[in-house]
Amino acid sequence: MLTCHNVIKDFGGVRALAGVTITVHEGEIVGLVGPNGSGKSTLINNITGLTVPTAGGIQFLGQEIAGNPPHRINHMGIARTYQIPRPFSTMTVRENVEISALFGMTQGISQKEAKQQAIEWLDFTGLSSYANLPVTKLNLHQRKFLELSRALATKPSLLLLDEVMAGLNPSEIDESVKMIRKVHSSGVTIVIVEHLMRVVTSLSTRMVVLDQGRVIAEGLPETVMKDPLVVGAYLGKDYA
Amino acid sequence: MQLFIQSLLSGILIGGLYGIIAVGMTLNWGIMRVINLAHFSLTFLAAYITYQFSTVTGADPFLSLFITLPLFFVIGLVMQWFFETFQIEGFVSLLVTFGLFAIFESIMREIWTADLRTLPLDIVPYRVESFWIGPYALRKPQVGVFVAAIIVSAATWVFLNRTYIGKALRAISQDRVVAGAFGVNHRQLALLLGGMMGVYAAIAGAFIAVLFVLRPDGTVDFIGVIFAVVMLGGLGNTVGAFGAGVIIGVAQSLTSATIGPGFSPLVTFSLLILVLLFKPEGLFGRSATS
Amino acid sequence: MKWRALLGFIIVGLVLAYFPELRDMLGYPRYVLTFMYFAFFWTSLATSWNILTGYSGYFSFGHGAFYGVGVYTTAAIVTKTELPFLLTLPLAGVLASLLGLTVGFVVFRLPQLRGELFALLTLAVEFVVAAILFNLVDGGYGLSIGRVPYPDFLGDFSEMMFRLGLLIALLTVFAAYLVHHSRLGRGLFAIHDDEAVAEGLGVPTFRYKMMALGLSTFFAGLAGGLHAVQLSYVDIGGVFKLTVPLFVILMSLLGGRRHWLGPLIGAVIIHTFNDAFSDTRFQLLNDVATGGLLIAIILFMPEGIYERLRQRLIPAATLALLVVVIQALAIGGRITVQFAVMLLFVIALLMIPQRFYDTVIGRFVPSFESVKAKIRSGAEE
Repeated sequence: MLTCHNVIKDFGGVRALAGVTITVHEGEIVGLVGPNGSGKSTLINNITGLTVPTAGGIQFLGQEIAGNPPHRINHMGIARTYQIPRPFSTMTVRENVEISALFGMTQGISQKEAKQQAIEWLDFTGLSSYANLPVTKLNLHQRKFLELSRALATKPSLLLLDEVMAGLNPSEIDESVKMIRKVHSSGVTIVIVEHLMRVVTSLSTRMVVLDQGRVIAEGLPETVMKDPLVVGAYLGKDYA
Repeated sequence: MQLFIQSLLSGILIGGLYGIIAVGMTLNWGIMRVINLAHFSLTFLAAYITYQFSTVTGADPFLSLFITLPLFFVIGLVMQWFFETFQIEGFVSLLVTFGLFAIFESIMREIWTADLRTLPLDIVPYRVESFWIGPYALRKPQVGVFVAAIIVSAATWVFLNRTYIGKALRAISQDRVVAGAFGVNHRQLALLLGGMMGVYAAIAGAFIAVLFVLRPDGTVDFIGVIFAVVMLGGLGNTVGAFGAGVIIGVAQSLTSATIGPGFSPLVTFSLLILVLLFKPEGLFGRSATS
Repeated sequence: MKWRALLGFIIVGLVLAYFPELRDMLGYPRYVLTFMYFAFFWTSLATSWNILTGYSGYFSFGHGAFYGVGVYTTAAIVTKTELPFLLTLPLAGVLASLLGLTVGFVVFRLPQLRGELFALLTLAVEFVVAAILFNLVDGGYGLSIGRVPYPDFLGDFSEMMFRLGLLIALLTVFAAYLVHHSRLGRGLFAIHDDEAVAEGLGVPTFRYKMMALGLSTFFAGLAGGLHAVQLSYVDIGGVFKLTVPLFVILMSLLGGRRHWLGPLIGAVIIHTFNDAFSDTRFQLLNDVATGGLLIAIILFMPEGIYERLRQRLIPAATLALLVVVIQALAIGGRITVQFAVMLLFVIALLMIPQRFYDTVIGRFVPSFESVKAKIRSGAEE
C-alpha cells in the first residue's frame, strides 16, 4: 500500500534520513520505533508531504506522492496526528473536526453533513460532551484524542500516529489502545510511532526500527526485540 | 564616468546614515523581537529638537547632542518599558508601534507644522562644504555621518561581543528562557537596550537635521529604506546593517543619477522584496540571533 | 440560509438606495449623503482587507497598493480616453486583483513569509506600486478628473456617488458574508489557526489564499476606482498615504476580524469620529486618539467590538436610543456629530471590563443570548 524507497532527507548539512526503505501492506499495524532523533517524525513528515525528500521515492497505492502538496496526499487517503497536539485554537472542538470532515477524502460534502460526521467522530473518541467547548478547555489526553478524531474524520485508508500516548496515564493508555484496535478493525491501515515499547509490541503486527536515519531491523515484534542491533542501539537505555 | 563615481561616493557616504538608523531597528527586532516603527518617529523628533535648539540658540546643531542623548535615552527606555510591561513583541509590536508612529507624527505636525524646515547656512556653513579628492566632492556632513556610522556600529559590535552585558543580550536573543535560567535579567537589559535605541535615534536625528529638509511625514521616506537595510543586513546584525546601508545608499544614488530620482524608491523597495523572497536571513546572516 | 441572506442584502440595498429621496423629505442637509458615501467607501476597503487578513491571518500592510491601482486605473482612463467611467470600475477591480494574484503567486509559496515578514513585504509592494505609477502615469503632476458623465437615473453627483458607493459596499460585504459561511471561509479560518495542520487535513491552502487575496484586492480596486471620481484630483502622495492601510487595519481590529460584520462596524465608527472631529482645531486630538485607539484595542480588546456588542446588544441598543432621543429633543447640532456622540456612549459601555459589567449591569439587564434561549425554550413548550 505504501512504499518508501531509499528516502533521503538532509537538513542543511545534517542527514536525518539516510536511505530508508519501508513497505506498509494493507491491513497492517506497523510499529515504527527508534531512539530520539532516529528520524521517525522526519519520515512521517516526508510521507505526508510536509517536507519533500532530498532523494528517493514514496509510492502510495501505486502512485508517486513525494513532492505533492500535503492536502493532495491527504485526499489520497493518508492522515496523521501530531506528537504535540495542534488544534485550531480559535475554534470549538466540533469545528476542529468539521474542518477535516469538510476537506478530507470525501470532498464535496455539505457543511451540514460535515457537522453530522464531526459529531459521530467525537462520539467515537468519547469527546462528544466537549463538542461545543473551545479547544483551550481540553486537557492533554483529550487533545490527543481530538487529534485522532480529526485525522479519522478525513477518512484515511492509512493513518500515521505520531506518539499518541506520550504523556498519558496508564488508564488513558489502555483507552487509546482499545481505540486504535477499533480503528484498525474498521479497515484502516496504521503506522504507529511510539516510545512505549509495551504498547507497540502488543499492538503492532510488524515492527520497523530506525536508528540514525536507517532501518536497522524489521519483522515480528518478538523477533525484532531480540535483534542484537536493536538492543544495542535502543532498548538498553530506553526500555519502558 | 565622473558622474558615476561621484554618485557612487555620495551613495556610500549616505549609506552611513541608513546604517545608524538601521542598527537601532535591527537590535530591537533581533534581540527583543520588537519591530519598532516608532524608531523612525524618535529619529525625526530628535532631528526637530536639534533644529529647534540650533535656530533658537544659534549654536552648532551637534552641541544639541548634550541634550538629546540623555533625553532620548530616557524616552527610549520608557518606550521599552511600555513594550515590556504589556509584553509587546513580534507582529503585535508592529501594530502598536504603527499607532505610536501616527501619534508622534501628529505631535510633530502640531509643533512644527507641515512647513519644510532647514537649518540656515550661517549656523551650519559646512553643510555645503566639501572635501575634494581630485574632481570628486565629498560633502562634509556626509563624511561626518559615515564616520559616525563606523564608530556606532563598531562600538555596538564591541559592546555585544566583548562585554558581559552584551553577551547577555545575545544570549537573550537566542533563547530567552534559558538565558533567564542562567541569571540574565531580561527586564533590565531590555530597558538598557531601549535606552540605546534612543541614543541611536538622537545621533541619526542630529545628522538628519543637518543633511535634510525636515517635514513631519519625512519619516515615510526612510521606512522602506531602513527595512530593506535591516533585512539585507540580517536581523540583529549590526555590522551587516552598516554594510547593507552602504549597498542601499549606492543603489539609490546610482539610480537617481542614471535613470532619475523618481525611480530611487522603486529600486529600494524592489530590493527589499527580493531580499524578503529569496534571502530572508539577510546577506550577512543573523549575527546576534544565530 | 444563503438565499435568505441575499434577500436581506437586496432589501437593505433598496431601502438605502431610496435614502436620497427620503433625505429631501426629512430635510436632512446634503452633506449627509457625502458622509454616508465615505462610510460606504471605508466599509468596502476595510471589509475587503478583512477577507484576506481577518479570515486567513495574513496581515497585509499594503492594501493601499490595490486601492491605489483602482484609483489610478479609473483616473488614467477617464482623463486619457473617452470611455465612460462606469465601465472603468470593473476594470479597476480586475487590475488590482491581477496585481494581488501576482504578488500572491510568488509570496504564498514561501512558508517563511508569514506574520511580520508578510506585512513588511506588502508594505514594500505598496511603495513599489506607488513608484511605478509615479513614473509611468502620474509624472509628479497628478491627474485632474473633473466632471464625469453618468446615467441620469443615478441622480445628482452626490446622489450618484452615494448609490454607487452603496452598491460596492453591499457587494463587498455580501462577498465577505458568503466567504465567511462557505467552505472557503472555513478553510481560511483553519489556515489562520495553523496552516500546516490545515494543509495536512486536506485544505488546499495555496488555492484558498489566492482566492481570498483575489477577492480582497478586487473589491479594494473597485472601491478605489469609484473613489477617484470623488477625489476628482489624484496624486501619488495623497493616494498612497499610509493612512489607508492604517485606517483599514484600525477599522477591522476595532470592529472584529472574525466576523463579516466586524469591519463594517469599525468603518462606520472610525469614519464618524473622523468626520465629527475633522475641524482643524481637533486635528491633533483626532490623530492622537486614532493612534491611541489602535494601541488600546490591541492591548485590551483584541477580539473587537462585534463580540462585545453581541453579548451586550440590549443595553447598548437601549443606551443608543436614549442618547439619540435626548440629543434630538434637547441638544440638537449636526446630525453626524449626534451620531458620533451616540457611538461614543455605546463604545464606552462596551469597553467596561467583563467582570465589572457582570456584577453591575449584567445583574439588571438580561443578555441577548439568554433572551434568545428563553424565547426558544418557550417555543418548544
